[in-house]
Amino acid sequence: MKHTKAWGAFLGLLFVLSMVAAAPLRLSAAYEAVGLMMPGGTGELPRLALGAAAALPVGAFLGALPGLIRQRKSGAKRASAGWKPCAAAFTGGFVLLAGAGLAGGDLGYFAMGGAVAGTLSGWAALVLMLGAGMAAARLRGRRDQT
Amino acid sequence: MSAWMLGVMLGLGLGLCFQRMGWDEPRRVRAALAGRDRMLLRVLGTALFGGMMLVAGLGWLAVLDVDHLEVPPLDGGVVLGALMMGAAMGAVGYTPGSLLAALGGGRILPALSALGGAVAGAWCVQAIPGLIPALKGLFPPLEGTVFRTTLTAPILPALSALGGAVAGAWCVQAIPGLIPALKGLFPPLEGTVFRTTLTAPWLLPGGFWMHGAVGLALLLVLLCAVRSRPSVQEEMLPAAARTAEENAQQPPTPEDTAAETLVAALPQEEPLTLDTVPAELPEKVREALTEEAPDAEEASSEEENEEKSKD
Repeated sequence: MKHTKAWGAFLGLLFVLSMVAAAPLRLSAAYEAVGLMMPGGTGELPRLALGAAAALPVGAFLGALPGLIRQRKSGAKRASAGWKPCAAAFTGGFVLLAGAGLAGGDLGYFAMGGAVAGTLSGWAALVLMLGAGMAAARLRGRRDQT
Repeated sequence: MSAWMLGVMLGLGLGLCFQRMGWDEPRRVRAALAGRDRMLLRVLGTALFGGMMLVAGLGWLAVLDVDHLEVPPLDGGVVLGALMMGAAMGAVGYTPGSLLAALGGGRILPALSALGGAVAGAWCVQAIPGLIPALKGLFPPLEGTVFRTTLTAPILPALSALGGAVAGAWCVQAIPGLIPALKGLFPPLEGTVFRTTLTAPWLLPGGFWMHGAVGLALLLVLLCAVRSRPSVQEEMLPAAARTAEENAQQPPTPEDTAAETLVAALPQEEPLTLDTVPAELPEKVREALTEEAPDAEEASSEEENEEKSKD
């Protein structure tokens, strides 16, 4: 990856821009909003998070477009995922957003909304998250090796 | 600007950023968390510490309204939720943001599965009444001042009093007039030196300047300490094969190639570069190969015996 510092600074700028304009961006609120959209759901829609969540795949697609075009031109095909990775992804997604619902925010909210502003709870949540993530990633790495 | 419009702009920027960073690939997220991909950690560290500096600068310039900052509570829900999120991130390599980026980045089926799970998880937590208050109530939210060191109140009153009494009594008796003379050298310092609360956003005293300075210091440490190293993806991928046009323009020489690369220069043929990736055979195959060897030897020895008997 080229220009690592520039992309890092751009990422920080986006989250700070969100704070300047409205509030820290909490993407997990967009997932929780599905409950609000269902019949009987009450409460105000998190418009900032919903707008960001809707546009995020579009931005990623635009970023991946040159690579996808090259891939199509070369005729290379990506291997389709089996049912096991999909089942693991479903379980992981469930636990991820259940955790985000309990904590009241996701990684971006605690890191780029809390820790950036110098809140002790933001740093504590970030350290806990990264600690658990490192342990789980190392365990999975060992299991994959064996 | 409406919240929708701002959200869409942020989403487009974040999607592009996540894709360029490689955050949309679960494998890279797991590698970064396992400490194998330092590049991603470098980008995230730059974002975090650069963001600290930016928040401090914009706060000082009064561009950033301090009321827009949110101080999340530190209670049982946050602790348990952060641990769950971290475990899921490390195990499957998705975060709520990277999941959406993966959806646009081309890995549609696993990303859709994770999205379904995420929506179900978010809905379940909200649907079960009383779950969040019960988990949050596992231990009450911490509040108030966590750590406070002042220059007007002693930290350990009993010890200070005892030490002060003994030293004071001895000094006064030994050198009369010394203590007042020393005390008069500079006026006594007063006020709070260090204060960390769970209700105020600024972790350090000194406001914006100290916050920005700490962000700058951490950024410099990060840039110096985490040196660029080829990522896992770059390490794992073999060198790109040269095309016929490239070979025609500049034929490869043995000096240009890596140790694992073989240059085959055949007469009247274009030079070929072959990557020989060392592969480890499965145990069963190795055993089968080693078993075949003695049989072959036996067969050859039998043939020799037959020839000898014929002679």
